[in-house]
Amino acid sequence: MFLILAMGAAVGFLSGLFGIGGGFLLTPLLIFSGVPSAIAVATVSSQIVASSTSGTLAHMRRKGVDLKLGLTLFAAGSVGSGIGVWVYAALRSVGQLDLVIGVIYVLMLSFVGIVMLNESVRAMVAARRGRTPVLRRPGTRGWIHRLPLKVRFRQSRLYVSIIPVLALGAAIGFLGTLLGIGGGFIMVPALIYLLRVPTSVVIGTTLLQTLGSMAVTTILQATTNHTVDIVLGAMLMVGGVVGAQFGAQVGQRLRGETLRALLGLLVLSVGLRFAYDLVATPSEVYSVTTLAGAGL
Amino acid sequence: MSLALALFAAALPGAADERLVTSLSEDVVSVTSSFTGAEIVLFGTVEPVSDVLRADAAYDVVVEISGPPEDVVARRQERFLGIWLNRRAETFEGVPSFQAVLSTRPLDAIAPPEVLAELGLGLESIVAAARRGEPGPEREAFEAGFLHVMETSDHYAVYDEGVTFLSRSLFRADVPLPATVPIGDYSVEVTLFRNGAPAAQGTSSLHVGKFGFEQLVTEAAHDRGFLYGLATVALALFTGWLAGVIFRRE
Repeated sequence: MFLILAMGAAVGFLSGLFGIGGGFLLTPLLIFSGVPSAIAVATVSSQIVASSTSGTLAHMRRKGVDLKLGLTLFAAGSVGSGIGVWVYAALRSVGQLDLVIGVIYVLMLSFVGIVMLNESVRAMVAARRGRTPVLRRPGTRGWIHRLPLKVRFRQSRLYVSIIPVLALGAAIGFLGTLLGIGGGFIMVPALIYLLRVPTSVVIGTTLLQTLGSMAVTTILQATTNHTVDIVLGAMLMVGGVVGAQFGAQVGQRLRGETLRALLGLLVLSVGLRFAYDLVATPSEVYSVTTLAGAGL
Repeated sequence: MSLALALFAAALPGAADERLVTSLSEDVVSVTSSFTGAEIVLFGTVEPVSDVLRADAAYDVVVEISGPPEDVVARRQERFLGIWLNRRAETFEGVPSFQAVLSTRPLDAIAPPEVLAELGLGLESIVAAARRGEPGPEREAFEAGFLHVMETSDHYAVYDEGVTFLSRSLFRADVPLPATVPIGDYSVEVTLFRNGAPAAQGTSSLHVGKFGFEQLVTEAAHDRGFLYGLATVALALFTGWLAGVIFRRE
């Protein structure tokens, strides 16, 4: 129990430090420490609700939330979550949930880790040579902006087709449910680079969408798969929100590139650990579950 | 501590010389959040039906505690394209979720395998009862794997010297129940062997249950999943809001 509070606090600290939700670190940590994947994934959703609530409220006070965009993403996200919960139950009953979670984590974390490391090391090298790094400017209007069914999102000063917005929300809701992540680290760059949402409302809007779709996920998982552990969840919530406050304070004193390089390393090593678990010879090749796939 | 008393007349044919009287230290085990396992004690005596116990009789006792039956599936990981994944699966229907077998001596020293199989005693009997037809080598490998997983996860246990005779007729068995013991109704079956042949048998019951807060949470999670989910989300919203209020910097 102490270990779980400490893990919640450590991940909360990291999420405050790096400005990330932390689901993609907390879920793996729980899995590595012996919590069954199915329970870890579903319970972390409830912890993400708690950690994104305080963030959403803070951004709302600063008017940093585009309500219309956030709610549109959330509505699409709920559909994605619904599909995710169904796929999750199906994979579990055929005994392949752990494998799918492991493989997607390896691919996703190695990709994100390498991109972050690459970007931050370049920035550090450039800073040392006394040059300001050339930021790649988002290109001019791409194919996304030529799609039909345009909708106006006033606060983001955005006039864009509803199709990519819905697709993005649904994809993140689906992945978030299957992997136990909020998906902020995919959503933020997607909003900035694909939809050109102004950075001032990106974080707040993402947090609102995360809050909504993770709340739906928690309820769906509890209703269909019974894999939400409220006691474990409560400990993660408390540890997480407290840790995040201290992380944010330390984070303000570190340089951006250094932070991103550290986070990149961390993400990459979690990905490698998943890869190791997939290829290493297990000590026990047999496993026994109920017909629905739950542990005994 | 409540006493569960059970009286058994000899139930087995052609063996009406003895009867068993047994008593469990508890007939209800309550699992709470601080539950780290429990030990229940079973006492029993071998009583002569008429007269006195025969002098040439050597007695053995087997005590079998079985948890509620369930249908499970065993899977085997195999290496495929470099990674380990679940490939083959076999189902085992109606196997006990928990079983502890305690005896005065190793089972195979007490009676021949056919006798044990007929009485359904021992872990081998569990997989034998779950068979549909003659098992092939694949099924047998799965049976061994299944029993190994159940033993290493403390669901099944064998205690070869778990039953001790305190006198010629009085015996005692200490049954350890691990922290992970499944909840439900258990049966406790005691079998008396005289000179390697079954002489008397009797069954009593034991309930392992969650009570209070644990019962509330477990039942809510399984029977009222939607409300349970709503409560979890409400708790999360409250925690997040509270943290925002406490740590808000003006």
